[in-house]
Amino acid sequence: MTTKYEAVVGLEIHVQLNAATKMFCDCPNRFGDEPNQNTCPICLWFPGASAQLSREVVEKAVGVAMTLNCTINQRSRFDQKVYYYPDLPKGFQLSQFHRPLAGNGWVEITGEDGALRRLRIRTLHLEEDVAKLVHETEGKTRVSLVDFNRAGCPLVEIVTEPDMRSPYEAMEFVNAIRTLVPGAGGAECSLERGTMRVDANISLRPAGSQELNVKVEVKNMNSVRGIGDAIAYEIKRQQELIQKGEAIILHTRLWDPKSGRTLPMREKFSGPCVPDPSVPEVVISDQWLAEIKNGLPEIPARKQLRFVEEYGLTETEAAGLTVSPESADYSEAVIRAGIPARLAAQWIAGRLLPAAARRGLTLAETKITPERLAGLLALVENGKINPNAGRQLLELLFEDGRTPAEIAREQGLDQAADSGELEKILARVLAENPRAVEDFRKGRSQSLGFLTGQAVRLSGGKADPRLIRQKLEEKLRSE
Amino acid sequence: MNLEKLTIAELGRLYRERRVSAVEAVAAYFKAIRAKDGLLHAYLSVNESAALAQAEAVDRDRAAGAELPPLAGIPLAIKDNICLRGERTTCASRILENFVSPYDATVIERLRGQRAIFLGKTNLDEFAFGSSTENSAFGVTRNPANPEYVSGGSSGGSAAAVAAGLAAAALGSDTGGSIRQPASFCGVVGLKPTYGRVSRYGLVAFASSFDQIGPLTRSVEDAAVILGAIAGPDPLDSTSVEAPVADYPAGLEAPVSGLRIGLPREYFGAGLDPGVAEGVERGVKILEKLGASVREVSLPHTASAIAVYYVLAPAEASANLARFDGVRYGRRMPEGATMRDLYELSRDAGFGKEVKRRIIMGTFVLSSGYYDAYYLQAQKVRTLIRQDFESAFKEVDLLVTPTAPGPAFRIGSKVTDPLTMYLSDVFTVSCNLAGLPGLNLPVGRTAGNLPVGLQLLGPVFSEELVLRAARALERELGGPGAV
Repeated sequence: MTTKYEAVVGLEIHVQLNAATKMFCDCPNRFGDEPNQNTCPICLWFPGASAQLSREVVEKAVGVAMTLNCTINQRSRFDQKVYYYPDLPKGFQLSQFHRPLAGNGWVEITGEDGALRRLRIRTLHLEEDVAKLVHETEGKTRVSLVDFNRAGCPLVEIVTEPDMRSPYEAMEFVNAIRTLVPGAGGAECSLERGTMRVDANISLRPAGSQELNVKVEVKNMNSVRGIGDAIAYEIKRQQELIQKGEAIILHTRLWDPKSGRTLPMREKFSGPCVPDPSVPEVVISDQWLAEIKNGLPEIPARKQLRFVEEYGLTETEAAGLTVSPESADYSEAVIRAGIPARLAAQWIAGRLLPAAARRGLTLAETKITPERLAGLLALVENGKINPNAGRQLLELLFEDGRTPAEIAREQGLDQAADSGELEKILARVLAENPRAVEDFRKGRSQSLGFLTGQAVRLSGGKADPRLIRQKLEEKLRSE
Repeated sequence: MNLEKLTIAELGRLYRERRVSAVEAVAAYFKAIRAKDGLLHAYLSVNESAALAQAEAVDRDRAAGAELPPLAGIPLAIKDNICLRGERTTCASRILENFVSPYDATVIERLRGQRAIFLGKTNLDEFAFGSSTENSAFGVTRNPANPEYVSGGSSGGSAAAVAAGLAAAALGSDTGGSIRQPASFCGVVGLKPTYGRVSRYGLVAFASSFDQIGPLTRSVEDAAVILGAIAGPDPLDSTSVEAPVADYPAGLEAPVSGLRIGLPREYFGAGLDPGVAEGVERGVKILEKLGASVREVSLPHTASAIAVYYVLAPAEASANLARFDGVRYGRRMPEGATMRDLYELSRDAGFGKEVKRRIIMGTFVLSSGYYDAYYLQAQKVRTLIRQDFESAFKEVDLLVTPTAPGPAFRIGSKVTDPLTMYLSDVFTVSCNLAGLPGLNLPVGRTAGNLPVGLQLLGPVFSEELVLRAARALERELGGPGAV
């Protein structure tokens, strides 16, 4: 008899806060600048420099924590996470380990069985980011360069309870964070752009047991799908080890999206984690807490109401568009481009969002900008293509960067809408070529090619030969 | 006239009366430095041209009739763990031998605002780890009272410079006694302010919850003037405190009658040098004569202070020194093949023996398995020590103790025995553990003509009171420099 195992998955999610400055100095918290441009004696930790915690960073982090239903600890502290690595300018990272900013939060996801599942957040704390290492070759010499622009940038780390039981649940948790946290206005949460990084802790146990076994940490997933795949791979790897009777060893692995495997990673030397004596206790008064709460952006419910009033949508339609601030902003951009709100709502909530979700992408990560969707919907609205063709075109827009009209033309989707004209051409071809029709019925299938050619010629070359051939064949066989 | 023996107040008066120019004073100091510092080695670096340029500007403005602040044109020495823009800041360590600071410490910025003049950077125990300046990577600072003896530490260079007339006053830093003990050894006034009173921004951190910058001066009044210039909250140091800054010089001459003085019994035990005991006794008698009441008090956890300090301070230091890795600045050993080599070779070549000892001690007490037994336990005892003082200050206004158990010791006599060396801080560390202000006042000399000092300790932010009591003693002892 074989034991059935279940996966136990917990996540550690680093989210970059979009505060104006770094966490402990006035350098801009900005990406894409020349290397080491956004640095100062503090974030380079020159001798004598000391930290000044940014108020805005604390406010943004509290906003995120509130959005994730966390309890705010009105007194929290920074600790020094000591390790030696060139990405760390002072030999320790300022983080909150012993007394975090917030905890006991949760988010809800829809489980695979369709039921609501509440996944718990253990802690949410502030942490400074580290520098970026770039490995290059100068001539024949391998060199490692350090860009400190990112060093000291503000992060929150969200640590979940080991509540997830499948790659699906982990992916849904990440999707929920990606929806809710940007809604609080504090962060972007893009895996692709690295403003959100997800590490997964995975262990197995006999189904039904409550024990927590030795876990393996997996890093380096840069898409939601990658998170799911990496966890699935790691579950399988551990199952195989257990079946072989081998022990699971506590360590960290890197996900390699190319090979679809996880590989063991060399550990950084890691030292103590002790209270930092230099950054004072973070004290959040009742008044400050209330101010932060009142300052949080338009909550989805309020936005939904506005969509009903402003765009004449039904509540259901409005709800579908305001599931996230991203989708709400997206919808408003499509509507502004002249697309009727109802049509936009049907397509965004009913087709675009599910199609993006299937691919594990957020709207911003797809090639489908509001302008391109508006282009597609204009074709539908003007009857250039029919809704079925529109659906096909939507799928194509995920892969092809050209304008919807160009793709529709090339794929012959545009004139499929004009079915009246096509039908006329087909009827005329069949009527004018009785011999070829007769030949086909006698089994000489090459006459279909002749008839197709005639139809394409009659359409002025606009018609898609494959479509015509298919339609002609349908007609001939059905008669 | 011996310009380089005057107090700030005296020199300032000569400036205002146009009897002496700042350029003359600076020139006199550099003449004295050239004459004496070859032997004493109080300075690690001097910048004569910059100092003269600053002096000329002050003289020019004064001649133009500008109203100048009290420190305008006053030549100061700065401990070489405090950053001055464009100057080397070595911390007396090979690892920072060629490090030029790109910015001014807040205290320097404030002194620049007062138009003070910076003569140079003074010697210290490497990274301020020590009690004799013998741990400097660049050689010991000798005691001006007797060059065979240490100047104390870690601010030995600053203390010697002030005592020998190589600067009108100096800044030092005090983590466990590093201003007060060398002040006592060299016979100058040394003040460690309340933790948070003076910004630490730009002070190369040793132990961040202990460090304070303070003045070493030839008179109590000078200490008050410098404290007034450098004290006050600083947005760049989030541990600096928003307490109002008093006009410290203004209250100095107020009477001390009615003051309640406590003598902590634990500070007057066996092993106290007779010369030191006699000096402190003389000071106590003067305070009594001036109308203060004196009583014995107890600080029961005093015996643990050295142990607690030498757990916590190295623990903080080990993290603070982790940044010296040869990656961004400072000494880098290029021979290594790997990243690990870069760290190990750079730190091995860059740090001296005592620095390595403290990093190892600090890392040890923080490592898992020992953290609770050492670090956490020490934190608890630190709280008890703080509470000892809180209770004592319910009964008395100030405490009087010896600053150090003995006078300066002979160079080389303790270097092989770190534990004995650590015990030179036995009377000074508690003040840092509790974050209190403490001041050394010279009160006499030993039979061997070495200075001895008396320490005044007060509750947090009682600098005014501490300075006033010190000034009363100084006056009765014959004025600045009389003993």
